[in-house]
Amino acid sequence: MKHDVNVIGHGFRLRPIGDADAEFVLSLRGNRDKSRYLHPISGGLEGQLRWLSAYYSRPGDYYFVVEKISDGNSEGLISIYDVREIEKTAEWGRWILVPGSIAATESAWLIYRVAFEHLELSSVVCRTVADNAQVVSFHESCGIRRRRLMEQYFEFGGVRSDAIEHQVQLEDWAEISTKLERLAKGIARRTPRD
Amino acid sequence: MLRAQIEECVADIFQAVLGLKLERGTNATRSSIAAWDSLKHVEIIFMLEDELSIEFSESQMAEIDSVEKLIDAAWAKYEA
Repeated sequence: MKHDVNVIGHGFRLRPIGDADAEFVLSLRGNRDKSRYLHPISGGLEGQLRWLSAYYSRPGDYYFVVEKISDGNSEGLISIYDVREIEKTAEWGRWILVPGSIAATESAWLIYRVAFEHLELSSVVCRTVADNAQVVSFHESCGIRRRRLMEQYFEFGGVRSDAIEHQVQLEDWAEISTKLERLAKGIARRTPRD
Repeated sequence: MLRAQIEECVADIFQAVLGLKLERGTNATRSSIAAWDSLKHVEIIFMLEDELSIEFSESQMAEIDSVEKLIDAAWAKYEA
């Protein structure tokens, strides 16, 4: 949905996606190596602009560009969606970074801040293709202990894949936030704001 | 500090962070170790920096994708 949520971290920030980012989305998600665990996109620039147009009217869906604070360069994409205001739950994903980016830790920290500080949710999940071992490992490295296997959950090109779902509840957030922020600060020393 | 001591330091850090025993001379890569994820990578880098009183740049952090590159980069920093 069209939103105005901006979250500023130490070295990176999340800002709302716009039509001007369509080519960036294509460049990232058109990289087969980086996007093999995401749904494929189609239709080129026109298709991406049509997708964004539909996204702008989709409630409970917040799509962000990950931007480096020091130079304003776009480093990746991340979203939180399926926000359910009554249950106070959501899912985050559509997470992809440019090759060589060190924004992973901080972008995860920032999307959780969107979830728990801006949207005031009680819990948020992230579902990862089970074969995407390093991302599965990343979630566990964050300290997330609640996980479950969702068999045959994803479908890409007619092929079904298992998902690992990681869940963070509000009561877990403080400890996870402390860990992620500590690392984000350390990384930010190398991406000075001035 | 000798390069061999840096190798030992890296091995200790890999054991502590990844629970992995590095065999001497093996060049393990990030892509070959599922547990060497983005967050663990940062933890490994920070521990090595603390141990050797060095600091890697952003580009170096991104470029280090193997044990050998980590040792080479640390050795280059330490000698500088």
